[in-house]
Amino acid sequence: MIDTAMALMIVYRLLALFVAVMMAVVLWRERDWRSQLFAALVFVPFVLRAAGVK
Amino acid sequence: MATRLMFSAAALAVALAAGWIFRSMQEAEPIVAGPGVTAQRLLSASEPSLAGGPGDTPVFELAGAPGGTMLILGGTHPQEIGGVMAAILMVENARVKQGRIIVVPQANRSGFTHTDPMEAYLHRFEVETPAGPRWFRVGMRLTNPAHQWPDPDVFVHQPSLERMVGHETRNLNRNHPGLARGWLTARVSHALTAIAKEASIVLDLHEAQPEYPVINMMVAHENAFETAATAAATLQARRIPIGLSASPKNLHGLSHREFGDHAKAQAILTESANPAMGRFRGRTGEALVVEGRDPNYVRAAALKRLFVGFDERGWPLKLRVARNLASIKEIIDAFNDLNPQSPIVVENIPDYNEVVARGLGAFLQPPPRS
Repeated sequence: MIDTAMALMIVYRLLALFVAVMMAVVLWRERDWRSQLFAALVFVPFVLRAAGVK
Repeated sequence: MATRLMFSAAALAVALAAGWIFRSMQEAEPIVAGPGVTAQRLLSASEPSLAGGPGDTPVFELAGAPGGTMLILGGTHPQEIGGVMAAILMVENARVKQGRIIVVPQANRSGFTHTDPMEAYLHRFEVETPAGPRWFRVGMRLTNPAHQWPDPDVFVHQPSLERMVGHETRNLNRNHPGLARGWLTARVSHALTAIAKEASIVLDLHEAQPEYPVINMMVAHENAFETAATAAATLQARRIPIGLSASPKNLHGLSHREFGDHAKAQAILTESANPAMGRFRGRTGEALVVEGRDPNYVRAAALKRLFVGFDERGWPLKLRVARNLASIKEIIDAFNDLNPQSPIVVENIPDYNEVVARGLGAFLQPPPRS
């Protein structure tokens, strides 16, 4: 059974996954290498949060 | 294209490496049931919603003939390892002849699975035993945010309705007596309160930074004050300096308040001095966490900024654990003197002088074979 706490955690992790995916899109769409680097840096913590390990 | 591929590969490699480190922090260290342990269960036996989750934690019972019951909590705040190790030494050494002692060495199990960002904490430390090294986890004060998130802006404690800063919702020692249908930390507290209701006396083992005023201290609920005062006086007579403080009636969520009010147990909390927790500390390596030595704290003591003495010998873990074990023994003796109708008779609690002289390893069971 999903309670309120679990539902919020699922929403939070889906949001983290959304940001991680968006960073991957940005990384592949941007032409400037600095924007690509920033997207790669931002990708790491969000994918870890989406995976529930950090 | 080349930079995209390079950055993608690097980001994935960093994420995988960091993920492996964070996953390894979920591994629980072995706690060996000593010869005095008569029953072992998980906390989820008291609160089924915890089963299989990050808040479930081992509960050890040491029982003898009918008598009183004592609950000992370690790891309410998982970086306060002096309390954790004292609880573990009770599990691995003590034998109860009369009465019952229930020990929960890692009360907030989730808090053992992370450390705070930017604090450069050790994840684990080792203690050498005659049969080889044993390893133990250093955790953090609060429940792992990967297990309970998000924090509210304001945490409203139940049932007092006291308002606290939002992150206290993950502080086990602000959640008592807990909620059956609450956040993870509140449900862990609810389960511990259910066990505390079986107990005549509850002891919650904590540590604090040397610059914190409540240090080397017992904090007692009014229904435990006579027991705590007797124990503190005996400790002082044994040249183990310890202070005594009354549990504030309007400060809620803490074990020394809520286990007394809601579980009707004699509730006592102890604090020993842990320099690894303080803001003056230098590198948080094993020399600080285990040996308790730090030149910054020697300087702070010289400037009279601390509430305990601090010299080059520091506050080693073995000394803090020895103090906690001496406190447990004297609290039990005081409880027995004041409650002769339901005593708790315990043997083989490691002696203060022996622990200080021989170290923790001499009192730990051999490491389990994997």
